[in-house]
Amino acid sequence: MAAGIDRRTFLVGAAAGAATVAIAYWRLRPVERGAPAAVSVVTTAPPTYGDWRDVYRERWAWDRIVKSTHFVNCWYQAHCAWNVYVKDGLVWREEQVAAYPQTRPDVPDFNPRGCQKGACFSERMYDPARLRYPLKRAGERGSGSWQRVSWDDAVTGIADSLLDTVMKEGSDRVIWDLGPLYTMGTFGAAHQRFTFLLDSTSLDMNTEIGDGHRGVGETFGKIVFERSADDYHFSDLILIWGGNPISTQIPNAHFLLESRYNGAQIVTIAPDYSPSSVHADLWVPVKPGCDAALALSMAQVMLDEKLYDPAFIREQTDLPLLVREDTRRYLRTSDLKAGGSDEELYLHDPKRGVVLVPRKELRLGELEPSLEGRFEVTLADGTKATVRPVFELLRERVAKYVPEQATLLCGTPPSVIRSLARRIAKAKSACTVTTSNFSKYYHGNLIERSMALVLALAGQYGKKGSGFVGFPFLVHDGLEKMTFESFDLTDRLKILAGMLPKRIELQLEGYTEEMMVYERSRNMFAAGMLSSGAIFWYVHAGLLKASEKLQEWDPYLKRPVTEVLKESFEKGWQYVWPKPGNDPRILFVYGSNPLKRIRSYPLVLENLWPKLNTIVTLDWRMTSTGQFSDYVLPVSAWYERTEHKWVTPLMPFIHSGEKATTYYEAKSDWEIISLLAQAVQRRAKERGLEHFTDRHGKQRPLSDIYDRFSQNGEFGPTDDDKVARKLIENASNLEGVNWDDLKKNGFARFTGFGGSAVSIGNATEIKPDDTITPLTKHVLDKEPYPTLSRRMQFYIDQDLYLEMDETLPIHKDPPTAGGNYPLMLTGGHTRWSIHAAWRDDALMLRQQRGVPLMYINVHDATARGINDGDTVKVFNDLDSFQVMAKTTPAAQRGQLILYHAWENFQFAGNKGFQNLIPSPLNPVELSGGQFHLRPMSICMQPSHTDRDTRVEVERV
Amino acid sequence: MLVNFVRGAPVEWLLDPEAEPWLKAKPQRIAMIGTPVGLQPTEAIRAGWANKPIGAVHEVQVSALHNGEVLAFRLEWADATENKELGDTTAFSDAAAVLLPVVPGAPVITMGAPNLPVNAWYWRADSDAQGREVLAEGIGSSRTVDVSLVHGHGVWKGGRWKVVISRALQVNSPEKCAQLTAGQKTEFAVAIWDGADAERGGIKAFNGAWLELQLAPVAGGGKG
Amino acid sequence: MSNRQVAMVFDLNKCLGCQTCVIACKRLWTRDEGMAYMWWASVNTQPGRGTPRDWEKSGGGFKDGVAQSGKLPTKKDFGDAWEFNHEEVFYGGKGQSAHLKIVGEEPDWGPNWDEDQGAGEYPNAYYFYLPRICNHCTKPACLESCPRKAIVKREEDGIVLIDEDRCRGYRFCMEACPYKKIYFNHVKKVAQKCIFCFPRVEQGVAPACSRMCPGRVRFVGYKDDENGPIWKLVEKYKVAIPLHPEFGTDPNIFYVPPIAPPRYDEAGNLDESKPRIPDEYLVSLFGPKVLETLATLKAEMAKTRAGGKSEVLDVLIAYQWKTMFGGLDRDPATIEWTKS
Repeated sequence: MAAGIDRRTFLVGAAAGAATVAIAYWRLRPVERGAPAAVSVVTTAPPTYGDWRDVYRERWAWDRIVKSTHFVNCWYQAHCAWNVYVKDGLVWREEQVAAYPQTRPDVPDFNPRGCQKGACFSERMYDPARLRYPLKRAGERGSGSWQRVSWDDAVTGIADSLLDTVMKEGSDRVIWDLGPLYTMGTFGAAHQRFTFLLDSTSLDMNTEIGDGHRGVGETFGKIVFERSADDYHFSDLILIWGGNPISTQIPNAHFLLESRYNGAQIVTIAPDYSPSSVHADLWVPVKPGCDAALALSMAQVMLDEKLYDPAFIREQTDLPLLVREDTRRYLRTSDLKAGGSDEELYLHDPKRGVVLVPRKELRLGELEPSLEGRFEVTLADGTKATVRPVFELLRERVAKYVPEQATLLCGTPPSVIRSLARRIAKAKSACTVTTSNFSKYYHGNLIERSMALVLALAGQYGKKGSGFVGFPFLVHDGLEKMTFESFDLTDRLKILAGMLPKRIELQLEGYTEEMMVYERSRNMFAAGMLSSGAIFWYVHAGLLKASEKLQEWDPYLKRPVTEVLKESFEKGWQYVWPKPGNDPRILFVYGSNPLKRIRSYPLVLENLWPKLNTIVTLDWRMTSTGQFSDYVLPVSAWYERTEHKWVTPLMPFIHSGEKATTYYEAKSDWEIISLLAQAVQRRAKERGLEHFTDRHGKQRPLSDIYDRFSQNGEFGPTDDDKVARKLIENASNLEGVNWDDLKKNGFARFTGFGGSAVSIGNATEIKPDDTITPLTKHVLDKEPYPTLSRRMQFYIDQDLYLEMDETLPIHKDPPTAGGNYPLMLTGGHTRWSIHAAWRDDALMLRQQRGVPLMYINVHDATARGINDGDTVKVFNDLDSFQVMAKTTPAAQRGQLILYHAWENFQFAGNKGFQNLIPSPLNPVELSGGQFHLRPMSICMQPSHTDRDTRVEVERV
Repeated sequence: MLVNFVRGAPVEWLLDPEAEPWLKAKPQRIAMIGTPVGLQPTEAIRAGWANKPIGAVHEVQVSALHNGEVLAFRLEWADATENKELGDTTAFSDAAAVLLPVVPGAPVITMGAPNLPVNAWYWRADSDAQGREVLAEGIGSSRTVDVSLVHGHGVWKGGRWKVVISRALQVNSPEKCAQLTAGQKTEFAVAIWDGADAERGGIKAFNGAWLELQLAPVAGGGKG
Repeated sequence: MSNRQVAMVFDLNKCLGCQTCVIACKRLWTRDEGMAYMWWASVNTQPGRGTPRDWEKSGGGFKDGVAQSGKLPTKKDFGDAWEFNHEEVFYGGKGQSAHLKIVGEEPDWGPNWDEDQGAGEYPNAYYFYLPRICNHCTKPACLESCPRKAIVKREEDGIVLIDEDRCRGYRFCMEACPYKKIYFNHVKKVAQKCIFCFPRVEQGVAPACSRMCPGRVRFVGYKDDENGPIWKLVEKYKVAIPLHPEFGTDPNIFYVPPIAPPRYDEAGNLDESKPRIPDEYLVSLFGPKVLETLATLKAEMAKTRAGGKSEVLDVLIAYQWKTMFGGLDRDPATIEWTKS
């Protein structure tokens, strides 16, 4: 007899006379084939429930709202204030705060910001990629076998490994790879304090990830400067030149399109008819990596047709500076006088002859520097030398880029080159939209220098809505102070005492505040407190092997790059920590993902991984690097932490987040590092270790390391809020902003750029009621640029530039990196993820094709028998991977487009697409020694590049 | 059709189309026709079915039994495929319904009329045991008034459906339904939807007219 | 016929194809059982086959006022909600031999499958992004088609809703809708579609797809509100027109048509003799009216380029974002719910 069924249950409430029985919902139990369902049958209808409309109404309800944002490097977009809706203890969904004040009535406001990725973080944070517990690997690295461990076991194990390394091999062997989850909030505070106390090596990864803006740095002496997005409203010509802001700057893009309605013309210059071409007024095709020829050709037109702005270039650039014909170097005081300065340069004035270039300010006073001419000077040794202004050399240089010639190099039609050059020259306010695209091309430095030149010739800087721009970055300057405050009082006094005389000396020399900040940064590099990530991987992970054949690929190369690297180290132009030959031993993967990020990552696994005793990944999700780590530590996701993060001038508001919910055993980075510091202190005591010797031979304390980290418990493991507050209070460019209000609102406007090396370069002010235009301190206030010449510098006379004929910008064909194959694997940032944070998210993948994709021109595909949707093999001399082909007429013939950040585990055989990208080292970037060519924070180190890799494609 | 009385027939029997009591009952063969396209209530449906045949099922064999408390109909018809509403948006469920008048004179072709309701006991392959009690007063007005009163069970084998649809003779409901008693004479009609042909709603096969339904009295006055 | 009608205008010159509207709707409404494959709000690259695949050729709607038969799109046409094998890849102990895959059958279509492909021939390729939701038509084909009158059009705002209590899941509405914006919930066995966020609208808050659009593409308001953006863009300045007007349903979502950069001729010079997006293509989408609409828009853009002012462009710029929502500008975060 089927369970539960009998006559009585069948007839509960039967018969007309029975009193109404409350409820009587039937239940179904699993049906066996052939047998009747087991049912309890009632004869009384259940009461009516709420209307279906009410079901929907009730769904739109929540318990509470917490302000937050997504603490990842949405670089140019960062950040957006979100309301996080919490229901039943879980994050239910999010919606933008959209309460930004309008800067001024004649520019559009910033609202609402946000994007599709942020709008589904509530789903992402609970998906299968999320980490719940500390994990320790149970099999080989990468085997996918894990054991869950306690936090205590994890930090103790790591602490012991740390102590072993620090005591036996060197504190510099402990490496921190810092990734896109970095903040100037608790995340950064934890890292900086801990690594300073243990003298670890932190990798400055900016030039390695491909945001080095080398050419910008060579020209301006810095890379950080950008406008606020509402400043576009004052442009009448906007150049989307490289880059794809429609896809990659989603919250800012409306400003471009509204400026278009306001009368601006948008010109997109790209090899493909990109998403950013779709709403342009003009799309200009160009061969990938060949934009220097286009730019130099426009320069040629401007010079030829006298469309340039002589007053501007006289005052703001090095074009009037004098260069010796014999040495091809700037004329210096040291040439004219024995023992004279190496940094004083000269110009020619018709009335005064050859005179010193003003260095403390750009104001020329009565000087009218000559742009043309040949002049004679008497050198220190009595001989004569002929000197000419850079302008003359430039004119000779660009002569070979007449549009009819340049078109053979860049593919842009001559008529378009001419008309665009004229447009830029005649525009009221022409600007470029920031992009790191060219930083990822081998000759990107030449491209950026050429672009900067075009706008300089046209005088398009400093005016509202104008300017070629560099790398956007805007931070509060409270972090350095907080790290400093963890030092001993005596140490602090010593440091300040040492700094003061140096400061006075530099001030007397005419160093601006900005220049002094950069000097400090350069010293930190020299001292090993920061290390070039780019060089680190080349040296310690054997990445140079990938481009052994560079001399076959790059026709301009004069000698092996390894030779130049050696010279660079010997001459102290660039540095790397640990020094070559001193193997790294411990790697902390701190909100980063190097195995996915590093071009030619298989070499990292092959060469570096075996050297490492302990690899620790700290992240909120499993990543390609996590898969190959020894420990994976679960970090709180963005709505689960109290934190704040940097932004860029494009969006000049600091954003904060409050902890809304928790998740299993995930902890914030501040807490994790605190626990680790506690473990180090405990184990040091237990092991009787009092001190260690740092990389400079100095004795440093070990057994009270946590006490120092926490300032004797003042900032404990769960004191994220306290730390965050202190950082805000420390900041000089958040005047009047208090942490409690900031948390309540989710955002607050910056009041200035502050004193950080990665912010001060913007060289302008932040006013509450005006848009931000970069470089006004130079253009309007006539402050010198932080370059050797103290001007926008287009002539570089460092040895390597002379050797490589890059004294002035020049066009160089992209190398056949990877071998002589006909297709170029270009790329860009995807709209579907910020780095890899959403790359394997199901919701995002459903709006694509679920698998890695590569765009290929329809004809290139047909010629290879490839149809849309086919799986293809992409290969070159290095390696191969498989990907789905997407055919389109929008891609240029010969161009492949593979948008970035696919995790290696998304490819067949786990062969990720960066396995065949050699990222050859450009020797010119190994230069140093000269004033602004020395490495400092985020720039002036070598780059890693990928977008000119050569491949072939075939159907699988 | 006579609805035989089977004293003490347990519910499992009544809900199992292959149980012994059913094998003994002699079914009535009923011819089925498609609902006319012109009678479909909306222009879109008429346009969609203008050139498509309606009513895939041409004949059904019906029998009925009651045990004094519960009345069960058994329907058997040919259907090449078993269709449930699973998977695709184009998947429709095989279904069947028995129609009874709530009051005498309720018209069958128009599915009742205002103040002349009809009561359908409805079964679907993809919800099987959970049937529906439906009332209607004209085409397009049908509404489910309950999902706990009607029960069914279907077995599809070798191109044939065997389905039982049942309900208590008397139900306690705020709605006016068909209330039955042993010995009563009333009428019934049958409708069948073939999911494979995307039949649903008014697109179905039905028998076109009321058929006589005679419930046998409870034993004591007749055979046990 | 309803007394008032809410409507939207989408400016195709600003749509970024970012799909934030799509996700906004998904995270708010279509996350329950049976809804995973639904995208009530969708954005597709045009020219393209869209979602569901080939919807533009799938019939339904009205021709000369007479209802037309229509195709019922399959789940494959819509694109299924693919699941992935994360657990196996991360924790399955399979090393490099397991990689992330779609569980089950390999798809050949999805809701945004042909993103950024477009049409034409290099260097004259062309495409743009087309956001769509249910049009809450004045003459809804879905409402007409339902034999159970399970679809209603609200008096107070013209929002078209499927009564999920009345719906039997017949899906005649899915055949009838020429825009194919209705989905079927296999678990609940009812048809479901965009509800114009009526719970939000009732509280004075704009629909999520519009409020959350970072491109500031979507204007909302009542058609008859002369102070609101809809009346201005549709009636006064006539820069926004319906999609596929020939479907005969009188849709209430309007579009500002896109203007693309000029094409190139064989010699590589700019060729402004014909537009990059062929007129025929835009006419096939929006009807012949699109040509005068484009002319109007271009004339206004010429004004501002010459340094003058344009009222309609000021509306489209929306200096203050709140003005985009025709009075539905309440901040939802100001609402506090009490449990009863």
